[in-house]
Amino acid sequence: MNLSLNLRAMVGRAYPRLIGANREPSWIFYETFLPVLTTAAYVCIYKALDAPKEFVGFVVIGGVMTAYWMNVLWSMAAQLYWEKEVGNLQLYMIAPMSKMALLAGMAIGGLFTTSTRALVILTAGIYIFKVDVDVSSITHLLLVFFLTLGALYGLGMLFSSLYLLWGREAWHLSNLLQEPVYLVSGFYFPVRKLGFSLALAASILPTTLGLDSMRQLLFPGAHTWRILTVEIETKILAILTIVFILLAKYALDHVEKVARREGRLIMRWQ
Amino acid sequence: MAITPDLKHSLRVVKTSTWLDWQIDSNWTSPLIFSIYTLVKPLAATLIIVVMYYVVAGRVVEEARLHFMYLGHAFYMYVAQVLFSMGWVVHDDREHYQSLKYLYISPSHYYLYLVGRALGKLLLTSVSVIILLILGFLLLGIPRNMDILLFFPGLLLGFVAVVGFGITLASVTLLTARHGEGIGASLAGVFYLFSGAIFPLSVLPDWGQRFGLLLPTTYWFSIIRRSILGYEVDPTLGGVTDRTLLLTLLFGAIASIFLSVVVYKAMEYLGRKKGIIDMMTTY
Repeated sequence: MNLSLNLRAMVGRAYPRLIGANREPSWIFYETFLPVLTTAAYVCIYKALDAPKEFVGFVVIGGVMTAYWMNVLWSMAAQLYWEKEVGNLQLYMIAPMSKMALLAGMAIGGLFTTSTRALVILTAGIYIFKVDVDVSSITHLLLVFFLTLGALYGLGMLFSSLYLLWGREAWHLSNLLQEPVYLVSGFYFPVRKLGFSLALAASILPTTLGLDSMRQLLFPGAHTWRILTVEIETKILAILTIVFILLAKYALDHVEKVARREGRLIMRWQ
Repeated sequence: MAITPDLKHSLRVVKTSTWLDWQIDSNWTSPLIFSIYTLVKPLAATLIIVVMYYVVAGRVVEEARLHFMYLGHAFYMYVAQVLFSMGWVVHDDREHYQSLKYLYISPSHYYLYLVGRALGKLLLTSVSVIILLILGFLLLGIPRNMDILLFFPGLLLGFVAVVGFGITLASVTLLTARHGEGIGASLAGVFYLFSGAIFPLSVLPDWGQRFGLLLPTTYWFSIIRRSILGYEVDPTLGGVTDRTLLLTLLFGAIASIFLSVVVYKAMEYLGRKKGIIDMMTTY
């Protein structure tokens, strides 16, 4: 494997996303200001219900993670489908770099706008919604956050291999995986309240354990609703990161072969 | 009233694009999977609200506050789906199918085409909303004090307002690059927060309440709830009569359509002037 080539491919794919974000900045409005309003709506639900104060914090952290989940779904998983549809995929396929480098480039490029959105929601949460955070360990918090992102983007890469094969199903699957995942991962409430077994089953999604750990590390009262201890959740997240990235590599290679064999690799407008 | 050839042509454009929207949304899979797909997303979105309520209150049956939230959220699906999809239609036509330029130079007016696409979304969302209502009546004990003389005119006027906002959004995307698919979902947040869809307006600060009262959807949600539950929960609109609500919604619906026409014309003019009507962005 040519490391230098793959690094250049990664930078090359991240570049248009970063440049595009500067060249046409309309996203700043609808990717930063507007998502805060949706988060605010969930905050208001809890306020209307006189919920414990921690719940507002739960919603804000959930709002931060929706930015990454949306990015994984639309700008990672569905992206190879999109590239196929607009005619770029064949160019990627004949280029000598690894497809994983391409996907990593997409992830890094997308992280800029996504993290801006996440940061705005977090800032709004702290200053507008007056969320009190009490970080018990900043190192552990950062570790959990980056492991969650690693596992999440690994999952995105895994999905993108499926999307390589599919037509419009890809777009609809991304659409479908928004609210149901918000529900089972507990983006806006402690998922433990749905029952331990269900929460554990939902832990296959990195967002479930990531959110649970981050809440435990940010809000002392969150231990009441935890699924597992932060230490165990961190270990599981590390395993999920490795497993999803390895699976993604395997799936990309396999699905590419299937798609080539069936002549569906660059079939457009299915 | 005689139907003029122009009106007949316009209706045909709307009908055809509604059909096209239905086809794009539904013919990618088998009817069974499509039915499940149509149900799962709105059901999950509504369950989030129910679970949030349950987490705090510890119960979900026969709870007036939950009925308020449930009905508001069920009908908010129209706003969410139309805005989400209409924020995507132009990019889809322009960059995915690369058909926008052909649609644009055809004798059909692109604005009417957008009306048809929005109606297609309303039609599709209606399936989900009807099922959500049935589930709400059966499982959550939502009262059925139906006032159809209030419900149907209100529903129709709300549709007009939502279509107007959807086309306004689609018009704006004539000028924007495809950075992602979230623009519609993000804009829907404005209506989610300020329309009293899931919590009474009185929860919002004064400026938020004042802004909410400018949105036709605020009156729409109130009419829908009154016509189904038979009472109003939100104290902000509690003193307003049904007739006043309907008239305000009528005005709001007309304003929404007017806004969509003005924005469409402005964006179309700017798009042509900048030469980006059929631009491709591969970010």
